[in-house]
Amino acid sequence: MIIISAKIIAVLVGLTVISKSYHDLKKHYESLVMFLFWLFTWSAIIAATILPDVFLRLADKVSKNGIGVGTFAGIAFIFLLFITYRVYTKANRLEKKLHDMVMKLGLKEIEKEE
Amino acid sequence: MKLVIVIPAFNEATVIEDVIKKLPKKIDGIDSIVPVIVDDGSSDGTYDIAKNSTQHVIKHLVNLGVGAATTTGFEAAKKIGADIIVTLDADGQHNPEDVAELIKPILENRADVTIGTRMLNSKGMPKLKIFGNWVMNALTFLIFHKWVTDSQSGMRAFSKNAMKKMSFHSIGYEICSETIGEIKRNRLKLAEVPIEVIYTDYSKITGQSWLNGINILTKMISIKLSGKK
Repeated sequence: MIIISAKIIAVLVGLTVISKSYHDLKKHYESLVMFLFWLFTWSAIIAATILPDVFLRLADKVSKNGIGVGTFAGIAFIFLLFITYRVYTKANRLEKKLHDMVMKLGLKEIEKEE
Repeated sequence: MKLVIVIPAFNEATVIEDVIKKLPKKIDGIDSIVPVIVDDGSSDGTYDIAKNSTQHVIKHLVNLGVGAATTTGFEAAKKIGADIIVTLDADGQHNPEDVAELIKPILENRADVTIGTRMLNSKGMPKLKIFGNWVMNALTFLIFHKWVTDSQSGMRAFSKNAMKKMSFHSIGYEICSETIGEIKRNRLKLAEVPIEVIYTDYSKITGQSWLNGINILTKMISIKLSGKK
């Protein structure tokens, strides 16, 4: 039951992200490359959730070539941490820029009054 | 001597007029008192109501957070030529009569910054809030190495000298703790003044949630790691 629920949640989340990304592409908020990246990533996640056997067989093959599943998971984890860090620093920078802009506009009223 | 009272406000249409009306009109040692309201992107008409009540009202086009609104208020106060800046919450939880006591240590050159502390007279304050405040005091001490009894109080006063030295990068509630870090970094004289807190049903609703505490903690660590302090 838990496994089925997890599969449903993963599929729903995946489809939501893909549809959101497609919506952003249509509105020109997002580039085609970015949309394809999310489409590929989330399709892979959905496929891995629905067909875990295929991915286990793939993991076995990769292991035989010298790269263990653990190593692969480690690299993926570091990649995720890097993305998180990038998003965090970018969001902070944007927040600061937005504040500077909003503050300047707000202070114009005071400058006019003084 | 000009005193500027900065009030950051977000969706406070129901109380902002009353808060402005209750501000002190005359304080010994002060020639003029100027309120500056910073509407932080409210959608309930806070700006219009405040504008009908006082001259200096600044509008943030989008909601950024109390830290951003306070910093904007500070910049406005500097432009107006403030000698002392006081910050108050817009939800009416602070007693405006306490402003005179709050600025006294600055007027007497005993302090550069004063914090109106709710913890020295915490009668009527919800127990959970008292506990939360002590937790935030401890975290602020751990990160910025300066102990205060009410690190999250929004009622503060700053001298002109203090404002020249301090710089703020906070957008949200973490500005309260960042101020403590700035006091420590610039070796400013700090005085804590007991204040009365008016806990109405309204101000209880608008208070900070425990989740915000986690947010403040991560931002405080980020400020510390940025190497400013």
